[in-house]
Amino acid sequence: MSLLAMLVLAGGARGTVTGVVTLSSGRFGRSAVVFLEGAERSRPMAHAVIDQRDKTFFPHVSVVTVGTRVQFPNNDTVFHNVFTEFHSARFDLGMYARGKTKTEVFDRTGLAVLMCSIHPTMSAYVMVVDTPFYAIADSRGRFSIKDVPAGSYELNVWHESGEKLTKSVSVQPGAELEVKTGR
Amino acid sequence: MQSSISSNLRRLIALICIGLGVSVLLVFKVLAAKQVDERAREDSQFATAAVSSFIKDQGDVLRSITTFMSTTPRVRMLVESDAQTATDAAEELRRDAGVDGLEIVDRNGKLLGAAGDAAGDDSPIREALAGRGWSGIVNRGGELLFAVSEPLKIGVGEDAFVQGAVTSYLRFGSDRAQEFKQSLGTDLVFTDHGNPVGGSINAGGADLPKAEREPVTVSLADTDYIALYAALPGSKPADHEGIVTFRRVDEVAGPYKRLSFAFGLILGFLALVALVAGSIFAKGLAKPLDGVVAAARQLQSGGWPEKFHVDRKDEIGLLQNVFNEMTGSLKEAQAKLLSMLDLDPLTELHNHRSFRERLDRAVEEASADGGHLSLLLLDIDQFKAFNESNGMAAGDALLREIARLVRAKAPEGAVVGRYAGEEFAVAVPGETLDGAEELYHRIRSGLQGATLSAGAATLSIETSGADALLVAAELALSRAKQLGRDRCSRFDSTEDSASADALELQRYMKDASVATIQALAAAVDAKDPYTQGHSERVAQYAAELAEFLGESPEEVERVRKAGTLHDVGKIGVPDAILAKPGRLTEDEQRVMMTHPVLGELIVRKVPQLEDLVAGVRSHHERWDGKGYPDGLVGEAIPKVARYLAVADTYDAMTSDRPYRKGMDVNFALNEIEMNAGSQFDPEMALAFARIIRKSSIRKAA
Repeated sequence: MSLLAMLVLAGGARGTVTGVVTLSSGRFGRSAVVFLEGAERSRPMAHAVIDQRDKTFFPHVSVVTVGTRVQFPNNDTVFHNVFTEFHSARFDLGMYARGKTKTEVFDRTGLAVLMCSIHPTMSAYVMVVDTPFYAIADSRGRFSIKDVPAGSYELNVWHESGEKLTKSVSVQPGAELEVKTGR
Repeated sequence: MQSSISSNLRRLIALICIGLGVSVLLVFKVLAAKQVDERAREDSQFATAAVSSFIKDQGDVLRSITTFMSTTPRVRMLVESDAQTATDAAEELRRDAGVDGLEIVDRNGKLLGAAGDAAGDDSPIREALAGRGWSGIVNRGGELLFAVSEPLKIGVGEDAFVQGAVTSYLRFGSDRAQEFKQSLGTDLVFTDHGNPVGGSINAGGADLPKAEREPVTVSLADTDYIALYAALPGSKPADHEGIVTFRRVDEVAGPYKRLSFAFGLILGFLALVALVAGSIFAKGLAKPLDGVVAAARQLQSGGWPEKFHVDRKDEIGLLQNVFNEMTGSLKEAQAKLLSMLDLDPLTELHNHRSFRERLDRAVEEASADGGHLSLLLLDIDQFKAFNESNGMAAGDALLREIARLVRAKAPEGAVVGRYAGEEFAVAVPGETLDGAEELYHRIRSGLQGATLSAGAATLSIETSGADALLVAAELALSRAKQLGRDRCSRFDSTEDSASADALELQRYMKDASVATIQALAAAVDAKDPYTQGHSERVAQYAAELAEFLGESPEEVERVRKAGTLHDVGKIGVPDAILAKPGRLTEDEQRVMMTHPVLGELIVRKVPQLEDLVAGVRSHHERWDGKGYPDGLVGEAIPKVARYLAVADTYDAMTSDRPYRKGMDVNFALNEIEMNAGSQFDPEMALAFARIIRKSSIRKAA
């Protein structure tokens, strides 16, 4: 994985971090999760939804702050199920019909893989972070994290392919980074 | 008698039966062995095919199961699980899927959970982690595993990423081989590069096939198997991973063995039947043959076997027929031979010997019933002169003509013989002297060109025996000749002249043998005109030799008489042989060689000649034992005969024959001397040479 560019834009004491994630295969790091871990902690999000329709979890990749209650509405025409192994603790929402919504609180940081036991092709990733500074790369691997106070951070990049990157960065106005990583 | 043909035949039939049986069995065995081979081959091909197909199916099943597992969310989720969860899940999955081993690794190849057998070989997993499913055979240290490894992917389409891999294993080891064996009945061994890696039997150390080709015979623990290799489905040819099926040869061969046994029993029974039948056949063949053999033996020992009743149409019947014919012609030939012994060949009248025999019989018969018996002796007048002027052929014709006449005129029951060269004898039973004289006239009146003198005698007190009768007739005949020939004179004891006749008769009877000997010698000379005088010369030589060697006068006389008679047996030798110019054939030689014995038989008939028998019989014996008829050696040969042998040989050598001139005296004497001690009594041979030389010197002087 490479972080082709990281631009820190200064705005007083705060800046914006942008960049492009490229996988080792040369493909864009689509839906890569990028987050900065520093002194500041996050608070649970008020609202987070992972929808189920057309036998697909949507969005495929989500980032939530720790303690957030995530809603799993079944907006499909068929029964669905959501289960995961999260920190060796399995949660399984069981099967439920369309129109129903089930919720789950993600109270620890880490990656959760969600699947539907009925539909093998369905999968979703939920990255639980304890920082307010995070972003999900677009289809071309581009990301942008705004209002990041100047200071030192651990930059974390994760992609569902399994490629990861951890890097110490100092947020200052105007900067570009290119990072490579292998599996 | 156990016929050797019969037992030989039986042996032959037994041999043929055994030979046939054995060869049929052998052929059957070879065919059976071929069949067994074929069966075993088919069996192992079937077993191999079945096992291959079974393994392929199982591989397919394993692939499906593993693929299914790899798509199952809960399995995929295991890549996020902790070791305990993954391990438990792996065991559960392994059991549910019925596989021998199951492994789950994460995207980095780190083992998350494992259950049962694993390969300890990363290659399937590496392939799977690279996103490609893999299935094939792996060797796990002496055991083959069928492995299917599938990637565990999360995401859809282009965004599906390999998060780990699941690998399941089927073990091809002894357990599996046992299962196969139970379902297929065929032993099975998994092999890798020809080495056994588990099987239903221990094939360690055996040279196992490692490529697909013809079945081979493999011996394991003293049992023969037909082994056939097949590559394991899913293995690469270069890896030589395969299965070898084993079919027990004896199991395959069992039915054939039983069949072979039954076959052998049937063959044995058939052979026995053939043997018995052959035995009966052999007996049937040998019995008539035995009959022929017995008949031949009988023939050999002088008897006449009964004619065979021929009711067979085969070779035996033919043999019997031929034998019958042969016996018949032998009988005929013998009869002819016997009659030849009895008849004079020229005139076909009884010869001297035969006439004497018949005369004896007639005298006996007449004496017994007191009947008359008259004897008429006829002599051709001046026959020698007739021969000289008209030739021998005319002489013979005359003899034949007289014989015909006598036969024609003699009454029925009369015995007619050629008594000597030109002397005929007629014995007429029941006839008086008058009748005999009348007979003479009847004969005489029918004869032209020659005249006959005759002497007639009849049985009476003075002439009570055959000898006496003969001498009486001889006397009468000689008187007829003295009286001027061409007349018949009677020996008549009742007339005046009787006293003179009787006196004369008595004088003759003192030495009856003189007449007999002369008569016999005459008979021999008559038969063999070329040796005329031979008997007399031999008698003379032998007598001189005996005298020279100091024998008594009586003995010298005996030697002389024996010399006169030594060839008397030649009467019984056919003229064709006797008078044959040149060398005799072997058969003729054999006939010729019978004459000493024939001579003995003749001489024995005359009691007065008894002491001449030895000389006649043995005059052809040789000092060295190589003579005949008895092969006597040295002094075992009667002395008389030894004198005769020297004399006989010398005369034979020196006398002229129509076809050769007699040898020179000295040459002949040298021969005699050279053969002293081999052919002749040495003393006699040397003495003889001396005598002859002396006398010839005397003659020359």
